[in-house]
Amino acid sequence: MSTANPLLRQSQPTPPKDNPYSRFGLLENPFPDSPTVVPDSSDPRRNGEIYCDELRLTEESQFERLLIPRESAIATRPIAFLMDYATRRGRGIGKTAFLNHERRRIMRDLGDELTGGKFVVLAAHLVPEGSGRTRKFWQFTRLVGSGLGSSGCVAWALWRLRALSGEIPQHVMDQVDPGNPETTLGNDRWLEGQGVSVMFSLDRGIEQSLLQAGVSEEVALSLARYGHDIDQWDHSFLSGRTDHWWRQEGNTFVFNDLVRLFRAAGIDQALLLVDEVEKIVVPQNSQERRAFVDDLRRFFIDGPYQSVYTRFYNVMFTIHPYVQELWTPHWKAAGLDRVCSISGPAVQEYTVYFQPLNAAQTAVPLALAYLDHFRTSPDLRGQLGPFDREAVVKALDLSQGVPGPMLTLLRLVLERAVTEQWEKVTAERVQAIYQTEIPSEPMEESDLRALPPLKADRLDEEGSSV
Amino acid sequence: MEEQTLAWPAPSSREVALFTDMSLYADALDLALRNGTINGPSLQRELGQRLQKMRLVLRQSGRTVERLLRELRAFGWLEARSTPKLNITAAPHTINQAGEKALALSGQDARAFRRLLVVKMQEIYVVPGWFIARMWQLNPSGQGELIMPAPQSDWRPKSRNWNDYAWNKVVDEETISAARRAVEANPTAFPISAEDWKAGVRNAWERLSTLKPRHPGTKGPVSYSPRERLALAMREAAVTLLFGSVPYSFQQADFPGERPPIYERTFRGWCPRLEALELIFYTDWHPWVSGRLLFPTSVFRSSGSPDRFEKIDVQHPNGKCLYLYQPTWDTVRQTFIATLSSVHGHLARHSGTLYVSLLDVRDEVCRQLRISSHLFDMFLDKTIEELPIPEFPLSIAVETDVRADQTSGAGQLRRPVYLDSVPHSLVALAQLPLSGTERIRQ
Repeated sequence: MSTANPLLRQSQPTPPKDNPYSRFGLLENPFPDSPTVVPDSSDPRRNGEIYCDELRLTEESQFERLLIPRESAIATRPIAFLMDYATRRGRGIGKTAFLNHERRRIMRDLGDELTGGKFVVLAAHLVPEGSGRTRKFWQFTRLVGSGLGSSGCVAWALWRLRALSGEIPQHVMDQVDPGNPETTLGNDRWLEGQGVSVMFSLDRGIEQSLLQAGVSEEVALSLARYGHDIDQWDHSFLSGRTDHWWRQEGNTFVFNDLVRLFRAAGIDQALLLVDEVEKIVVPQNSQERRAFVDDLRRFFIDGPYQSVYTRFYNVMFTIHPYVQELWTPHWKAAGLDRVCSISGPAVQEYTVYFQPLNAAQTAVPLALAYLDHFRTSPDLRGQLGPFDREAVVKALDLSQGVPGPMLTLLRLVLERAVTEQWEKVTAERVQAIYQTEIPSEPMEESDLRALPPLKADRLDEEGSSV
Repeated sequence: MEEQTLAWPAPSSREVALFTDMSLYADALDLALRNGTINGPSLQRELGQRLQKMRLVLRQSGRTVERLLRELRAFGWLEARSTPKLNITAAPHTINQAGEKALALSGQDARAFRRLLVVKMQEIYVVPGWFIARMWQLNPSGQGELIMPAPQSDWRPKSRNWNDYAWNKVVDEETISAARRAVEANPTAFPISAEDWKAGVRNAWERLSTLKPRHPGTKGPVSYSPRERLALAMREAAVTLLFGSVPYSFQQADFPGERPPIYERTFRGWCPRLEALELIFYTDWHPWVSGRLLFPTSVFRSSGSPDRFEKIDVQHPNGKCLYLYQPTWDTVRQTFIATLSSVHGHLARHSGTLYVSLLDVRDEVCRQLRISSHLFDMFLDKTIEELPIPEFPLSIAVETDVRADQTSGAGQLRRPVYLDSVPHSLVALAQLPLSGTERIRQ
């Protein structure tokens, strides 16, 4: 036991030579210890940075078809759904990882590659609060407003406005990294150090251009002064908004002011990737559901808002199976079925279905994506060791094609391999660990008058058939 | 016609306990063994809270424990030590040797314990075997299936003043339409003529209308819901007509004496009991039937192959034995998966959603296959384990969401589908895409 002063003692990282995973050529256990994706985590196993895009090529192409604007393509859907295709055996099918990956893809170059350079697109990944705290539409509006801020969409708009303002000399612009302008265009001190008059010229000019675009005075001032810095804008503007303000002003802010900001910054569209919609819908009562879908229609489809006039927001709802059933009658009553079918055969035209994974084809690339990230030497990349191919296929097969449980299983197997000094991990060993240690997760027009005929043999027949 | 002339023996008791939780028997015996003695108050105190279907029961009522003790005495598993000045419920009860054997059986083999309960209930009440025989007698061509109509779910007339109980046109029309809907669903499952049905419901309506309100109002006149009253009247009429002393459209009583073997009140307790004992299946929520649909999952036969039937020691007056339809997984596997898939497809096409109510699917699959809900749970579990297979390249998923209709009212009493002891409520089946079929396990 250490006798060091508890006020001053600091953690002692394991020296590399004591790393038990090094004998497998690994820096540490590469598989995640948590089944969830936490986008803001610094751990690449948890924040979605490690992603195997080979797994979801079909889903990705459907996502692009539905939501990404292209010059020659069919019009994108203002509302679309993401749901699993009868593949769920507990959590971990990968919908959150998929959404996070798509957001990263879009935000990397603001949709340049995806749209063939034709459009400027933003994306925000929105996760509603649970316990009924997002059951009202004004709470959803707050989620969108805050999400556009925290995901960097607002900051990107301000960086673009600054870049286009003409207030920053070309030699200063040449020093800006276009892939990450946060430390330059998003840093007032840096700009002032380069001789740019931020407060009196740059911010003032942006404020004037926002006012000319129709953004309300208070929002324009706040955006011009703080919008370039995600944390500062959150601190100075968003976090100070009361529930009353969101109820009264939130819709104007999100569906008018922010849209005018984005349009002024030359941005064509923003994708709102809403995860875990069951947290919105399940706690709602019937009236709230109806009011919510009515408001969806009003603010996204045909209300008197900039978001509607410019078709600025495309929203993708990740729906849990029960949500489909709960929303269907209200969706139809609100007339949204003509905009985006939530049920019936046409639903396929608006839905990205998560298909089951093919274990034989996807297990190896999925495992490699994690192993490669934590290899001690680049030479080891592309190798499965200490696993053999059958072992990782077995792990995905035992997890019934669901990646989350497979990664948890591989983590447990690797831990056992270290403690038991295994040289190789085979399919038999994966099977053995699965049986003993895999944590079980909770499971997550016809003639209706006449009953169908029976399939059972007659129970009272004494003949040979029974 | 031979069968109705053979009378069932008179039951030694008609007053069956109305509780439907079969685990109470074993828990009470266990307490008696551990504590030495039990009585009504101690049972009330010590029987823990339990989930009955989707309803949490914090404490058993005095009436329940009184009936529980009476039944356990009647089964010959408990003995009451007679104590002057104490009523029988308050008297100390001790477990005897037969009770200890029953308790041991419940721990070792829940299924065998259920079968033992059938035999014991038959000895005391005669109802289990008689009930099955009556269902087969009323609808032999439809394998005993019966429908007890109820007002349609969207029939919601305005409430009426307690004194305004006239049998009006609206009530009359709904009564006739309920019978018509039942006949449309299955013509043989509702063997009552329209006239008899209307007369029976009207009689019951008028009887209910003479009762005094349970909660006389202090602020103005008391009102009642015509829907609830008509539903009660229909249930009463159906029980009287279908389960009276004389079978409907027959002449001779199949029970000695005038008293009916089952009353509307005890019928409410018997259906869940017989369902829990795997003798029948019933549902009040079948998607295509307004009312109660019930059918036997057992039959009186001379013999039955062991891979399909399980013999119970209950005899019909004609000498045949009661056989439970208990097919093994191997014999029913193909049919079960095909039926599950077709029923899911039917409901999914109707609702337009991939995930549909698992309970609705269960009700119709059990109806088509004549299996009990216990068997359904078991077979569903095996289906999830096995799919996809070459004959059925299907992906299956189940969900545990508690649906809105399960959170309150009568919906809480609908038996959930249990997988690993966890109630499940949604199911989806989907054809695997081409690439998915490659992962079918050989």
